[in-house]
Amino acid sequence: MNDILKYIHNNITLSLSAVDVAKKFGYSKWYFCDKFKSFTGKTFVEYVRHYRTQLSAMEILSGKKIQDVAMDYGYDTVSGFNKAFLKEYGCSPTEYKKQAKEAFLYYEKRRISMIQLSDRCAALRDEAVNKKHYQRYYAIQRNLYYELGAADAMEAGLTPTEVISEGITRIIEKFTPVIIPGELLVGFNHGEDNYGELCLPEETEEGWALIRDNGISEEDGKRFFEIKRNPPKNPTPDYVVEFTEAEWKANAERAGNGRCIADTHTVIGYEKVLRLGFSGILKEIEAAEKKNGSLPMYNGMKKFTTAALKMGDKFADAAEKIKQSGNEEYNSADLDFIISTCRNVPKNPARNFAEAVQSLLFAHLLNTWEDHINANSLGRLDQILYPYYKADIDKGILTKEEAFEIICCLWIKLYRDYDVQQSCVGGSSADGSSDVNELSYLMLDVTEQLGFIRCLSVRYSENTEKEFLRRALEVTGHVQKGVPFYFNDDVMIPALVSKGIAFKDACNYTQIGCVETVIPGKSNPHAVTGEMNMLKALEYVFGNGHSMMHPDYFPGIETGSLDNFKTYESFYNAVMKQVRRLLDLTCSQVKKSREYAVIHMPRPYKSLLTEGCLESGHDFNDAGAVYDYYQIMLCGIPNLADSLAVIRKFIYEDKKYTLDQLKEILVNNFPDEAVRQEFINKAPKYGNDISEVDDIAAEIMNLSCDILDELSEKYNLSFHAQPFTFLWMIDHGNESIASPDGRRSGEPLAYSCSSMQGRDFNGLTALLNSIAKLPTKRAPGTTSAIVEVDPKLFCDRNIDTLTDIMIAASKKGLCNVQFNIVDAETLIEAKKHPEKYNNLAVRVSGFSQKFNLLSPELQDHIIGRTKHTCL
Amino acid sequence: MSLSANISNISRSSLHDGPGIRTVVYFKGCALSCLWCHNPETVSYKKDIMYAQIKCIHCGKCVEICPDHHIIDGNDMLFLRDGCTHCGKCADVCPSGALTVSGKEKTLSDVLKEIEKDLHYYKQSGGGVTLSGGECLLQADFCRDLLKECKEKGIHTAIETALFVPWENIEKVIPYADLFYTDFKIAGSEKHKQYTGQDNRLIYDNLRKLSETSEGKIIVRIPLIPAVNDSDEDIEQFAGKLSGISQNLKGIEILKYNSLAASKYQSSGREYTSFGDTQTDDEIISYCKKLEDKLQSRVKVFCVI
Repeated sequence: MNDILKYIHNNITLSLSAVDVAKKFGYSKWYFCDKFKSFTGKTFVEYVRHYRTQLSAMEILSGKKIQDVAMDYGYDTVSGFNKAFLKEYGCSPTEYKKQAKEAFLYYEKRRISMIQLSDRCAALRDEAVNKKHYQRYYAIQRNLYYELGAADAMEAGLTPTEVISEGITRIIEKFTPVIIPGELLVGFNHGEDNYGELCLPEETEEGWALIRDNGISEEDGKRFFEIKRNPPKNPTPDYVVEFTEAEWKANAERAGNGRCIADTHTVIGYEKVLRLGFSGILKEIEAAEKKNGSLPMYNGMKKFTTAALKMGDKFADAAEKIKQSGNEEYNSADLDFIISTCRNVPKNPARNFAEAVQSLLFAHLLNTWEDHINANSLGRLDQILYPYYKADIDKGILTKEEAFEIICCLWIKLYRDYDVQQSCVGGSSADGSSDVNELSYLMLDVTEQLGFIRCLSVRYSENTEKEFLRRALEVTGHVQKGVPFYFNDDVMIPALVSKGIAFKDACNYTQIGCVETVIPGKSNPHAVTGEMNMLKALEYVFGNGHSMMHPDYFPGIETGSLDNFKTYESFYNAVMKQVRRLLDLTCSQVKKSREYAVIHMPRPYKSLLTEGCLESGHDFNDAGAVYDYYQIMLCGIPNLADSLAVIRKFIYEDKKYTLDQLKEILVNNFPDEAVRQEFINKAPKYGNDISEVDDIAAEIMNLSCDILDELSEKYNLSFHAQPFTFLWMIDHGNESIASPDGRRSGEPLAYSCSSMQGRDFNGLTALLNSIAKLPTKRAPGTTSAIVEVDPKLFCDRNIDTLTDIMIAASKKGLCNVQFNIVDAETLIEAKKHPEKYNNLAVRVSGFSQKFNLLSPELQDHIIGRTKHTCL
Repeated sequence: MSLSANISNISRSSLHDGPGIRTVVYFKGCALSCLWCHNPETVSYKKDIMYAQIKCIHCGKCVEICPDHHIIDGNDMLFLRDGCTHCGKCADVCPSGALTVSGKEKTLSDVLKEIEKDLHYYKQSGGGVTLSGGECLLQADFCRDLLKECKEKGIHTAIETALFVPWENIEKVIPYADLFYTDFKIAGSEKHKQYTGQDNRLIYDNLRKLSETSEGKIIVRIPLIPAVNDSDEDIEQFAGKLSGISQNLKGIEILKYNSLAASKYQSSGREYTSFGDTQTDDEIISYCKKLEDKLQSRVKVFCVI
């Protein structure tokens, strides 16, 4: 039989048939075929096709023309060759060539059959990213009309909620309905540019040009500048928040900071707009008014809801006008599509998938018109939209491709260079079943295909299909923008329940902006309201309550002179006393700021779409929501843990330094680099799965959660622990003197619960184990971590194993993780500052090596190569 | 449990030395001295002092502590290895981690404890432990006991070996190893000696015997070194040597040459031999293809690029 195979191999370029070969070796056809199959496991035809396509694939990769290869391997036509190729490789030779360029050979891409970006979406994407229409021309309307409406209301002596409602109403009535050629969804936020900057015109030639470009009348422009010069008197007297001296100082140096940023951080009940339309919602307001009597909040709500009934019609009218004008840039079928959806929504309930998406976008725009875009987020889109999708598919009036295109259009509408308008896919229901549906996958596909920044998170649990998590990780690897990010339901749900949120509602949690947790349409999470810097607590122990950055500040409490701390435990207790002090200062500031928000920051639109507000007559910012809680950011846990480990080792165990000497070292910002290096390298660091120090981190977090529970009772507000730093590890670093973990004065702290930069060197599993040791189930505000990974790690052949790593780490208690797939710029930085990038490894052949151990030439080589693969 | 071994390093989260997520234990000491070795710091049985110049802050602490005061030149911070007794005192005091010691006696329970830290990852992914080096099978008793403990805990076990050890060493681990990666560097005996310091008869005999006892558990790894073992003639010779046992192998992996270990040579004070440019992907693929053909497709030849 080997001879036969040899013969086939040698003559593979000729036309081969089983009959001929059998004859040549003196067998009957049937006997031959039988024997052949049992020896090779393939039929003769399959074997030849397999061998041929395999060889021809090599040829194609070597750069030969597909047509020539086909001829060389005995195919009469290219289409015959394509067919054979398709059977073996599941794609055409052209596609194979394209794919194989980027992929590992022999580990062929396990691509899920994915719908490709349509020409329409490619063009719209290009327009959004290059900001042809998006940036300038429609950017000032929200702010200008809002000011006009609000000013009129103030002059009429109305209440704050009515003033804001009037502002929203004016925008709805006045904005210019713009339709871009090719788009299927319409509407702009009209308020911020792509970087999240608010746009307002100046009273200059340029400002007037902007006003005209935006289609704003001269009369309105004049009135706007008049208001700017002479702002109307606010009929509501100003409420002044009175902080104590200690509160001011803690606030000033970002040690403990409390405020009331309920603004722009919400996920409200858009689903209600889809279900009832604004006409249905109007009836709800009237019903509530009947029950509770007339309230300024209801007046305002009725005003803008009534205006919103016509929001769709404005676009439908505009589309009809374009149609009549015969403008050739527009496709009349697209215009008909827009006319059909916009005549119905958001006024009425959505009748199909397209209307649901359009209605959702309108509902979102109104939310951003109330207080700007920023982190106003969308919630569990695969869940909200699925009933509409399923119904349409069942009825046969929607194809998967059409749904794909509409989601693309939505993603493009939401696109920003700085995007924190989060949406979420996946998750699990209260009965434990997986919520993953076809739309969850479709949304991942769209995210991959568009390949731009899209704030998207994935919820998963032990009950989630492994394939879904796998697919999400694959998208993370392909998009290389750090999205999607991952939330473990098995940690998040118990954490929320521990804070009094009903299990069923906890199961419906979703994220705002970065990682903040919210029960959509039922809660005011007061995201990022308070923030506390752990390293300042340590600093205050050294300063006996005083700041050492600003010696005249005295925000801490007296914990005694350093001589008193004879044992590590006594020192640790003093630190935790300062932690308690700082958390108390933070929460008391939140309590006081809250009063300001109640009076001056009513949110009528958010109230309308948040359960509890309409019914009770209480505003969203006045505890109207079913769940009203405050998220307190615990910053610098890794740095404090590392610092305490250093103190325990060098002061109390080895007795190499005294506390006074350490204080000198820190105040003078490590005059001897050798001491700093010693502190970094000779004591254990969080992030390496070393219990000695990981346990300290867990203990700090646990105690902080206890303290927040106590403070919740003291201030009669619900405080949720949120070990998350946002970008403020930079600011906190600026305000903190050098710390025993080897951090120099002014250097940033660790990001959230990731290890301090460059201090994790034991591999990915060790880092995840360290994070998972934290009491994550006590922090419903998300125990967040970013893991820096080499793009090679996220190559397709590793995705299965990465999925397993995620599942295993999640069982241990990992809460939230985001992957930063490191790009060339980072590598260049890593070359300059190797000590900061200890965990960065490159994979080449049979082994991996840490980047900072490579010779400079090789580093350059890899920098070059990575840049190349990132293109 | 009283056994101990000379270990160079234990590395977690490896994805490529066997199925799933793995912890790789690098043993110290090898009887071969391949000129292209990727882990030169594991070749010697003695401790190796590694000096990563890039991390050095020139604090001079090592100069002070060195017993003979001549190991480190305080001015240039050059590591003068000639008089070094490998006592490791310099590494003990080095604050920045520029000086480190490769090679530490570790007990079975030390090593097991480290391995078990990722137990849940192995369970989820079908991963486990890979013993590598150096030549791990020169410390075969330890390997046997370690693998036995791992098997009892349900951990997948793999061994990476050049097989240049007495057969009885190999025999000790056969019952406890799920997978063998065996290096086969050069088919010709003389040439093998030229580049690795030893001829390959023992290696080949061991491979043949192992293929009989451990059918389907062996992956032969061929590191492709430019102008050393990558000619058509070499393929012919590899095929000739492997054809008799190929049906018993799980696979053959062709490893692409690279010069990434250069800095390790520098840190451990060894002279680095470059074998020139790395092969292109196409060259590797065609090499695999040719070898597979020569072996009449009785075994799958993979390329690791």
